[in-house]
Amino acid sequence: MRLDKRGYVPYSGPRLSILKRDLTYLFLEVKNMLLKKRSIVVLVFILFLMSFPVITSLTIGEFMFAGMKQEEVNQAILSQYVEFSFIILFLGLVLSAITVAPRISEEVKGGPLPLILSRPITRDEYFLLKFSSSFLYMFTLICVPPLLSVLLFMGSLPPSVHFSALYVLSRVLAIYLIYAFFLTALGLFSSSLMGSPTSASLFTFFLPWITEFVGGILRATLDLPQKYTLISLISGTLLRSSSGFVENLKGSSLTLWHQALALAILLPVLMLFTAYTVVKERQEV
Amino acid sequence: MTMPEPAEEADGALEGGPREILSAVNLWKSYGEVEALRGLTFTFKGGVMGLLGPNGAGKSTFIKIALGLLKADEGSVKILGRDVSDFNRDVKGQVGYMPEGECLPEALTGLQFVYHMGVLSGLPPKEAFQRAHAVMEFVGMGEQRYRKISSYSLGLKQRIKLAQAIVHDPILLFLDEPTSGLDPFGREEMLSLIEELKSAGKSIVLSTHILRDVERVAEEVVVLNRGVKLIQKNMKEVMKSGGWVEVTVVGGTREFVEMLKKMGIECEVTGSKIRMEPPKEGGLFRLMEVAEEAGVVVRSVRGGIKDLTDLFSELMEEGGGTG
Repeated sequence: MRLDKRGYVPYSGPRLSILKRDLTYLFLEVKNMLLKKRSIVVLVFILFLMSFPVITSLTIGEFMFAGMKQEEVNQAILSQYVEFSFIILFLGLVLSAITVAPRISEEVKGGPLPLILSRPITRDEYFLLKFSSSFLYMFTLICVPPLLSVLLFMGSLPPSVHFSALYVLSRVLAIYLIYAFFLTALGLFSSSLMGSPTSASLFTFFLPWITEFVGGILRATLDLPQKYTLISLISGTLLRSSSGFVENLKGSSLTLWHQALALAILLPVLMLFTAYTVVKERQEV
Repeated sequence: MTMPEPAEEADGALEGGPREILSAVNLWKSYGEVEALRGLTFTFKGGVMGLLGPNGAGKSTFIKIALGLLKADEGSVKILGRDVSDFNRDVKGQVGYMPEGECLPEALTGLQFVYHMGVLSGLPPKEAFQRAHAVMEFVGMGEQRYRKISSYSLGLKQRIKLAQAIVHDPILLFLDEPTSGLDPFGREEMLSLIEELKSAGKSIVLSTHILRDVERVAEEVVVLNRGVKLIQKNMKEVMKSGGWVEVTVVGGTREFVEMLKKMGIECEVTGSKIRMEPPKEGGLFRLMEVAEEAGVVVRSVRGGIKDLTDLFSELMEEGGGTG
């Protein structure tokens, strides 16, 4: 059966620096994620469902609302925006649940994690690589369709709206950057806590809804006013683009960008820190 | 900082370093109330060492501690003279690991996986690709390397595991049950590969419960049971420890055993069967003379060379079995 009888040949070639090694491996990880069939299916799914007009309306809505007071927002557009935002959230969660959530969990039990950690790589580097590759992947999939749509449909903006293309693009990019960051953190959070890829995926998809549900019950039970509270912040930011989020704006002096900032800093960072701690301390590999 | 370069020689590979490739000192590890390792201490100076013991003896736990995958409760493991509890890139770059259980990403092809592990070990992409092909050829994988791992048989998976362990040309290899589950042909192939790696100067820790594998390739054996080292011996010593004879006699058994004891021969009596080491002078001929003097009739004689199986059996009995 042996095809080759040359025997063992030692390696005497060059070795990469740590930084180059990490960047090379990062590239491989992103490439593998993008080339996986399930990613392609999800990408096509997103491109079809989030058809250009939907995305355009949504992205226009994003920058129109930014910095505007509640009473200034056109309620008809707001309603449409909420509907489309819900679709975006749903698709984003599906994407994160299918592609990011299994990333650590599939390597733990019966996976190659022991082999990876037996190499000259620290757990910090391992986690950083997982995060970076997942984030780049999510960012690519989430940002490309809206950016394309804005570029293509810029001319179809209502005459009353006068924004520079650069302003619109940077605004859209920033919002989806935050969104990709949140979805990556949520996926890795679930992935580090769950023992199997399937449970990690389910956890990723349902956690925001559960949080919203629990938040609603707590608000009702504690008779909290429908204004800005920690609970509404958490539930609202988890469902960033959902009606819950926009509802939270009512009576609040905080703008969307303040909440987006809270989203960008508070929850994803907490989730990532938890995931990092679990990976760092895990012994049973 | 660059990734570590492979050293020319296994023994004392890091300049100015100690001669021990691997050492464990008073190593303790428990999982809840179960003590997996209890004060394990040994040194390994290179070559091939069989780490022998029944299931649950602590072999895999020791390897995982040595690789930094588990933390020891107490004690230390040193590889190339450096404590593994402190992450050391140089040391990690000189170690290869072939685990026992499932550990392969099924969505990748064999070649992709070995290539990835090469990159992760610090090989530049082009070199990692060439090296992946080279080690795949070494382990005897032809066109199968382009197939997804999910389609591999157990034998191919074992080969891939070995290929990824050697892709970065390490000094020290931990092979955890490399022949487990293989058919006789696959086992023979795997042992041949280990012998070739041994010839190439690799130091190998072969963890197994298959005695014949250790006899075939190891130069040294450490026997573990219940987390304790029972013995560490050179294989030559084990094989030279003599043979055994079992005689079945009729009548006068007690007198016969007494006479043998006077000659300094320890006997193990089971009914009419007496098992012993043959007399050093005169061998079987002398044994027959003593039987005649004792007035017993020898009905049958059988014997053999004392091997690792005998040693292992003795140690397990002394150590209280496998529990």
